[in-house]
Amino acid sequence: MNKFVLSVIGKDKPGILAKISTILFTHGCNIEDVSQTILQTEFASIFIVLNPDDHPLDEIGSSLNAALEDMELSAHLRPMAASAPVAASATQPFVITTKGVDKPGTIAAVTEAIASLTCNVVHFRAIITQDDGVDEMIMIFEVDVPSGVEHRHLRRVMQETCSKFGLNVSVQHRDIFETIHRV
Amino acid sequence: MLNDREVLSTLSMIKNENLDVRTVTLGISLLDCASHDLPRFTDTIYKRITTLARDLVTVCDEVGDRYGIPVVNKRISVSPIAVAAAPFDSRGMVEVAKTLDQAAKDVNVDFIGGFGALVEKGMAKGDLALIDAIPEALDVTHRMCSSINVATTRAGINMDAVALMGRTIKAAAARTADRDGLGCAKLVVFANIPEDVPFMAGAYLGIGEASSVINVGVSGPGVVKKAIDRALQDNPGAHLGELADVIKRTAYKVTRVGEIIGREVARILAVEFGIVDLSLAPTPNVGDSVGEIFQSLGLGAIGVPGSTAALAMLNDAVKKGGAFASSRVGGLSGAFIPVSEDLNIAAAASAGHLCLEKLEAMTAVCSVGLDMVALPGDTTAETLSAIIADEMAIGMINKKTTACRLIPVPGKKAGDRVHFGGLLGEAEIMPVRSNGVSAGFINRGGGIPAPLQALIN
Repeated sequence: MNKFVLSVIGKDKPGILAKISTILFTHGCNIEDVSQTILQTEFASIFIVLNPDDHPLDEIGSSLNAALEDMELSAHLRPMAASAPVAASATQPFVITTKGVDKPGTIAAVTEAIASLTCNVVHFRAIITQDDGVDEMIMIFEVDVPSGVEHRHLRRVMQETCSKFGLNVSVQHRDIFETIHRV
Repeated sequence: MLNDREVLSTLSMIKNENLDVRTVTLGISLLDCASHDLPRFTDTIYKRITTLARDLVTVCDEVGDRYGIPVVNKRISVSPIAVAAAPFDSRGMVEVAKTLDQAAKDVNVDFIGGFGALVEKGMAKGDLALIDAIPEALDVTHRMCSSINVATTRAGINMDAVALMGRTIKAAAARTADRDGLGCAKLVVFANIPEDVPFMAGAYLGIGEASSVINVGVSGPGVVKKAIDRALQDNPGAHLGELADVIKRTAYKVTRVGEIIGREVARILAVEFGIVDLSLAPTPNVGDSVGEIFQSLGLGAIGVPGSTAALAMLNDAVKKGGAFASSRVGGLSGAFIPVSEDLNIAAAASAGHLCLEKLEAMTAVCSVGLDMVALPGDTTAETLSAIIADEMAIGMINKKTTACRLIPVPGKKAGDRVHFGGLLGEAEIMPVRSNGVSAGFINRGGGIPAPLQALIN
């Protein structure tokens, strides 16, 4: 069955999801998976859409962009390649949290360090907070760490990287957060 | 996906509020090591302990590191030595004590507990030999702790044992006079001792326990205090029922930490997971104090009128939250009020807010008893025994654990300061009213019969 990936970004306002889903429905499409978030004033969403009648993507894209333009939103579509399921390699979920003054290049350096250990970031959020009147950035990375990577080694690499930017870093197995906060 | 609050509040609890696992204690049964041959016995128990506990510290550090939660102390508890080493005389018991101490040192744990006896109804040969050996054993060892159970709700109070323990405490203080009677800081007299306490100095592995078991003691008075402060910041008019709920929810979180660490350590060591002891255990550090919680609840200091009620609420809320958080709860499970080990409690005692009698009243509703209380060096053995008897009576009648860890500091008087160091902390010596006038009662000996379980008012 044909599938495509749709992303929509732009100014957040009421009615965006209603508009998108209505247009997809009129083209005979079915939304299979969706994730959306709002950062400050900006809306961002990603959809995986089933296209059983094989409507041309150009046509669906044009309809969406025409309808969304007035709402200061833009849509982007891409066909989704049918691929054989990849056998998941053994990983352990860890959470890397950094805290410190926001400086250019921080995110790039930290994510480079994570990537250098072949760890995959599955969720990432950055929050700006005020500490004694100074803007501080807290970054929370949820990462899948290959079982061959020792968590002590991961911590050492993260500490080396973060110390260059004056960031405090902690590396903890994800289970501790769920264990403490969830029933 | 975790939410930000889950991540940030966990980090804040660890970094700012002293959340940690206070102790992971490996219980080791020594009962099948029994022998009438002393070298053979000491050799067997040394091998048993050092083999089973070889990786304890490494594994605890590894697991603590993975979850980012410090495991502050790693300890060992063993079967009551008075039972396991029953054939030996007191000289033999001292050799056993030295062996335990050496084993603890060699596997790098900070304390080993179980140099103890269960004598609530009577004292057998091994019990008498062990108690006789206590003063010397505590003098010549560094890491070994001793506990003697002299009362239970079902058996009553063995007053001969109570009298003997008063004399033993005096002798232990005298033997360690150069260290302010430090030996007594490692000696506890209990009523209704639980078989699975992970905390020192009362930890031992009960007769009804498995061959080896991991028991965990959680901590977190700082976390509870900060949670109350935050609740009051958000709602300054919060009533006590609401604050009890805050304590309950916080105790849940703290206990979950102990549960996950304990289970993981037990899994790696291939040892049965025992219990989580839901106790609020303070340390002599600012922000890690049970006494500070009383001030957050609105009392001037721990020990002022209202303290017993506040402690009752705190203790109960901790149990309710903790019991829900753990599949197996045990040990002492409640709030500790060890005077010298809690900076704030020690200060309240110095300022005159907390006296021995108020402390005794508070022990009727908390988990331990007169814990780490420094007393004048001239307190008589009979008065020490009488203080112990009073505390045992509270435990016996209320069907709960109570204990005494009393330190009559040689050569010092009320108001003098003593410094035990490390986790044992420091404190001012509390005055004892009416010292030396209880001998007639104590010297009668015998036992106080077990109480009725009906007509309970």
